[in-house]
Amino acid sequence: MAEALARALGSTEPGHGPAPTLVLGPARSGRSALLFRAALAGSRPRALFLAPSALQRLPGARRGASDGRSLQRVQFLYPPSLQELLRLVASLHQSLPGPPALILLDGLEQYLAGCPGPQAVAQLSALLVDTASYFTGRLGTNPCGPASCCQLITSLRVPREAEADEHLGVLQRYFPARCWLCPDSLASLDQDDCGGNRMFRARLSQPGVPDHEWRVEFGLDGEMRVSPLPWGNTENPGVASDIDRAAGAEK
Amino acid sequence: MEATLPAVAEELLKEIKKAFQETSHVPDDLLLALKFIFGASAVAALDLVDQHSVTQVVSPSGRAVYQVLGSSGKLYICYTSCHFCTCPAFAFSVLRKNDSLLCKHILAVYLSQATGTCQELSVSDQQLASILLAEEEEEEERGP
Repeated sequence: MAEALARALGSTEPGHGPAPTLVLGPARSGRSALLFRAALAGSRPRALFLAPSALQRLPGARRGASDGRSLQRVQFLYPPSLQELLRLVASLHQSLPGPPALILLDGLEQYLAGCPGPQAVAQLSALLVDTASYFTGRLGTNPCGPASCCQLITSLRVPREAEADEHLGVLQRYFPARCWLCPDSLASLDQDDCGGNRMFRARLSQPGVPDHEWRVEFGLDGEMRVSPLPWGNTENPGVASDIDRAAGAEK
Repeated sequence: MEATLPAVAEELLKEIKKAFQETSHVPDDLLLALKFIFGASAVAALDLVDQHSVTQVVSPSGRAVYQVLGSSGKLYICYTSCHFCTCPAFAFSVLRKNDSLLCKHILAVYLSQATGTCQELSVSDQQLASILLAEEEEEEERGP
């Protein structure tokens, strides 16, 4: 949810509550790395990382780097299809040994590909929200504790097709907080792994909370670096228009 | 339900709960307000509540879900923490056309909570997982 994502990006400011969060960005914009960073951030007792296929390497980490102790807190599950994902999420109350403090779903667009209609999108979203809510009840009643609720973050590659607009309309019912990843320059999308640093801006928006923005950079070594940006920074107007276009596509 | 309703709807449901606790019935002015906010769904939802069509299904894990027996005899699933129903009206009027807040089944869940008329059913964790996916409904048409 938004608080877990803001913390992963280095924010220490209060304000972002536990709203389910959707991370949106184009291909190769670091969505998986951001989710993974959220899984490892803080001292949460357990995170559940769901994706349609196994990760080839730790996203956002230096090549060859691994933090075994932090990784032990993350449980990875790879349901290959929408049906498998629905069955897995619906049975988490009986299959997990304890309640997770964070549920991460990477690659939502792959599950939604060929989705029969808005009801299937709504069912998956609602089931995820309902499951996180159930685990929140299991985690305890202290609203200020570090693991007082089970947060939910899912990532979606920004869709281009018209049908995807309908998906986004349904998704925003269930994910009130959204984090847009926009390239800091058009070159960022075209850089391959050996071609130079890729830079993005991450803007976190949640109703009732001021927007926050960060610069996210992927170095040649594959490592993700995050730095905060003051809100209203207009040093690159092209980025703002990219964000506006993306926001327009959401409507 | 923990899902967010518009403040006016939440206030109305609180008023209905209070009135029902004090007098065991819902006064006409609150029924009119219900119809004003929710339209035709209000009367249909009240019928469902009268017929005790809402059941909260709970498993030993503590996970819960609502089953609502529709007027056609079909069983629909509503989640406890957010607005979702497996009925066609939810898919069409709420999700696709966006011209309704809720379907009559979700409103019936709210009203049955307010009036304390919700049935309860205990099932196994495995059965609850199937019900969450509305698989029971596809496998067999169940009675109340």
